[in-house]
Amino acid sequence: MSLFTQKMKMLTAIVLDGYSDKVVKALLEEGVMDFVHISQLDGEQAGRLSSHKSAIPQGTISDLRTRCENLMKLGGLNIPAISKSDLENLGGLDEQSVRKALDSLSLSLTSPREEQKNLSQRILAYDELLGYIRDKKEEYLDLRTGSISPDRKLSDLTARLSDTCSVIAQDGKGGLVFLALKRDASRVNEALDKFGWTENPAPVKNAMEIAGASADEKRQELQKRLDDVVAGIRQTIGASADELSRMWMTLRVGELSEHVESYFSYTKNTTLFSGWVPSSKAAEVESVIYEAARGKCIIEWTEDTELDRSQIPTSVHSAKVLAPFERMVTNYGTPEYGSINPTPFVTVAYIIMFALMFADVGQGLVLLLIGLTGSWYYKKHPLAKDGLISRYLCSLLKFLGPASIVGGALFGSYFGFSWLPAIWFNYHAVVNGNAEGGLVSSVYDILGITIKFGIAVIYTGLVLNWINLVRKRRYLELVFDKNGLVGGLLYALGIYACYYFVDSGYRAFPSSPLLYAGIGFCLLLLIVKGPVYAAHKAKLSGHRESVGTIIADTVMDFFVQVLEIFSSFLSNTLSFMRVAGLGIAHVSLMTAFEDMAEMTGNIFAFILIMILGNVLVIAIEGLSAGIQSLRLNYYEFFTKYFTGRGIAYEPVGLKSRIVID
Amino acid sequence: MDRVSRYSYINAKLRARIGLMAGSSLLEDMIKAPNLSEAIAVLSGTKYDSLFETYSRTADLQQVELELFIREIRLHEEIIKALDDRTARFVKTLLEKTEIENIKNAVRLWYSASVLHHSISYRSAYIYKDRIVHDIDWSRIINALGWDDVRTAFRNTPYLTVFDRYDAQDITRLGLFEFEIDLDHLWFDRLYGAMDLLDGADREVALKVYGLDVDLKNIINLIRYGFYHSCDSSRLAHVFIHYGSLYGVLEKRLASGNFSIEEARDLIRRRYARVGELLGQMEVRGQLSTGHSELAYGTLAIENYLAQQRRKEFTGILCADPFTIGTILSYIYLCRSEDNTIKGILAAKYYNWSEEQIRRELN
Repeated sequence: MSLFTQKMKMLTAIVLDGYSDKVVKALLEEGVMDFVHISQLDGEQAGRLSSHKSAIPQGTISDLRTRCENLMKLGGLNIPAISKSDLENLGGLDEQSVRKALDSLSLSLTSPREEQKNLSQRILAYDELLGYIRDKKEEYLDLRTGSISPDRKLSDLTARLSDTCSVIAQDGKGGLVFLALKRDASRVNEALDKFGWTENPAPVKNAMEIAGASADEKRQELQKRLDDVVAGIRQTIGASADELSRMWMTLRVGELSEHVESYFSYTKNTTLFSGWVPSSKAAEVESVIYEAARGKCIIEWTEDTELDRSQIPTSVHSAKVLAPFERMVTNYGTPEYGSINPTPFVTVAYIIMFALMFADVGQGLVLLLIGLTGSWYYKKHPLAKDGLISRYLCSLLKFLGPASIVGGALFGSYFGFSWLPAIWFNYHAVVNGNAEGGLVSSVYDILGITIKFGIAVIYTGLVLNWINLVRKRRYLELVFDKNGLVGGLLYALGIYACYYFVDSGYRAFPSSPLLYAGIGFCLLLLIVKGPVYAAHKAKLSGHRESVGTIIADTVMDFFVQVLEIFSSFLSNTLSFMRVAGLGIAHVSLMTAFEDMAEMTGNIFAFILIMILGNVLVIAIEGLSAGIQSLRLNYYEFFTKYFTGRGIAYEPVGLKSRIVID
Repeated sequence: MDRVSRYSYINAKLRARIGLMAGSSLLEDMIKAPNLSEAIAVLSGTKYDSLFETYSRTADLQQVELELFIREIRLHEEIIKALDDRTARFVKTLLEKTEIENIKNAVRLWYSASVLHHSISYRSAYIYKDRIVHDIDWSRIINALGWDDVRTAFRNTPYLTVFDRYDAQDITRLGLFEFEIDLDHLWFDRLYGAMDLLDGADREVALKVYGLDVDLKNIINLIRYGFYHSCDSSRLAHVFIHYGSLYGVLEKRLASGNFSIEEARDLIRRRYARVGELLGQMEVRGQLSTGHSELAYGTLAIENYLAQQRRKEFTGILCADPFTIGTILSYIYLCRSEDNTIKGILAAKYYNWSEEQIRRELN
């Protein structure tokens, strides 16, 4: 894991035409290059080069790949992963033969699909009949017992009535039981008359049961045939699994190659391409290209210092275990190139915040168990769709569960009970006003702790920002920005003044001349900021602003900055009181459930209420603490040092999820 | 309850969902698929996954369509749950339109079995049989032995008034056309009644949306029944929906007994210039003359214009005041429109339409 974003290098290569296909495959296999159009680097030179012309349009390949995937979905087949040996063994892409194979497979499914439809429609008819029997809706049913003329065949009658919802069964005494729907009476009567139907004078007992059993049997028979057809369809596709898989790989590699080659430029005999690669992979990529081109290539590296850093893609390398927190970072934005990797910091901050808001050993254990069970389930069922408790949530809970356990041990909370003494202070006792002595004895003390925690988080953010600014060589911002040194100093002075005011019982502000000198110095810096920036801008662009404009800008900027520094630092700090708020709410809810449980005076009711209370608190408070931690990180912590203005590093490779239009 | 409290939760939720709606690439992939099976496979792994599962299980497109119908009901129900009584009542009235479509389908099945003596066999399974808005005994309709039996299924519903207007002989003699028109009119009466109960800003948005809808429906009715089928003025007056800005003038002209195509075009052009233009083009091509086979394409152009206008209207609503019923109406419209497009593509694939033909129809 790196503390900063990964150092990148730009590769520019010239390869003899005959080797370009091999180079493309090698680069796809390596999957670390984020390609750049040559025209982006040198528009004038690029004009002299010719661009890539596709043998098969990329859109056509994508359409065929989608078709291939659709057929695989219909057969319940998984999309294959492409290995190195697959890549070596794959042949060229023949559009016509792929299309023919897909058409032929698709055509072979037409007739079974038709049969499947017919069977499922016949099942629907029996379902309706069985539904009315089950619900005793006899007013819709036409039940008869009797027999047909001896010279007519029963199978012919059945065939004749096939388009109605009906069933004919033997009554066990040589007669027949006939069941249909009254709405079909005209058609049924006509058919029965033709077959010489004679009503049985004595009603057959259990005629409905006999008809129902027969309908059920027929339905099951149809269902079995339907299942066989469905299995047959899967089998048909399954028999072509290898072919489909190979076709898909050829199409995917073709699609990716087309995508990569769309960045290529050509001279008469050579291919030129360029792209960003992490420094750590530079040697590997170089040797791969040399090997694929059999040394017939020229490779040139450009250091990041030689190019505008705002154009360099950012690659963040964090430990795999921190993936859930890395996702929080990427959801917010991409760090600027060369800046601090926010993942480890957000990990620590998020975990501590959650532990302070949701501190309970028992409930933490439940979260951990949910996380572990969910991860185990998804590992066992890799194709399972994400449920309410998604893969991401499971991996996050594996951190939040232990955090909550540690928090619970510190504050002595076990499923809302104080079964063991608290390591730090008893949160329940403090919130409920039963705390005896100790450094933390009231909710104000808890609020104080969270504010101190907030100050620590905000200062960490400021320090990280100063490091970023030094690395970016933005020294003016480092000194004058609201999140720079002047902002940090004003914030420190503000904190000192506020603590003094609170310690004096809200009666007096500090009288130290050093404080006022410090504030004066900071305000002076903020006034000087305007002219300094104007001089710097003039130096860079050669354009001088008029004195009047500089004065007007300086005055406006000064007031805005002062207001912004005071209001934003104050609100950012007070925002951390929510950590205490949620922690107090957590304790209060558990206390309320405990009181309710005790009021019942029944041990079973007590246990039931406490279980219910814990479940509710885990679901509601857990969600709430998770959201508030995220909010504090995004608004109070990230805004201090993380601009999110970076360009994401998107290498193209066999495993990349790149979507190709 | 103020507007912000009423709409902040539901509208934020719906706006987020609008952002997540299926992209055009999904529909594009469906259009490009060479047959129905492959078109449905495109839906696998998307929010329409249940349609793929239904088709894989049954290979029956009508069951897939029923699934889409159920989605539409659930969509309304979910919104209704998040609203206060008054606004929920309006959305319930919107859901009654869906219920009316189900009634029409059920009554058509009954008509097929009982009047035409056709076997409806398994087809009753395609009728949604649970409660939508009112307690209707759907099985009773399908299995009714006579019109009075059908009526009984609507005993405690507002639809009974329409059923009361017809007896068994009327239905056998006239068919279901006028009965269905009456059901539609009843819905518009109820819709405008529900609109009157809305707050000022909500009523304004709803009137604007449905006013346009009614006007363009009346124009299409005029073309279809007035010019193409040459219905007499009393029958035509029965077809018109009694709301919107055009109805009053149209009715007056019809009553005068002499209403030409030119007059109609000028009248419509004053309010809807583009529709007037399209009508002019249809007239030049002779598509408005009785029985002309190309009429469908002409009216399709007007229907497409209607769809464009609606889309424009709803896009405008989404950019305007976020605390009105507009977001809900837009969301319902967008979902319906997406579902209908999917339904249209699947039906087209079932009938082996070409890509070009599908694109022309979808426009």
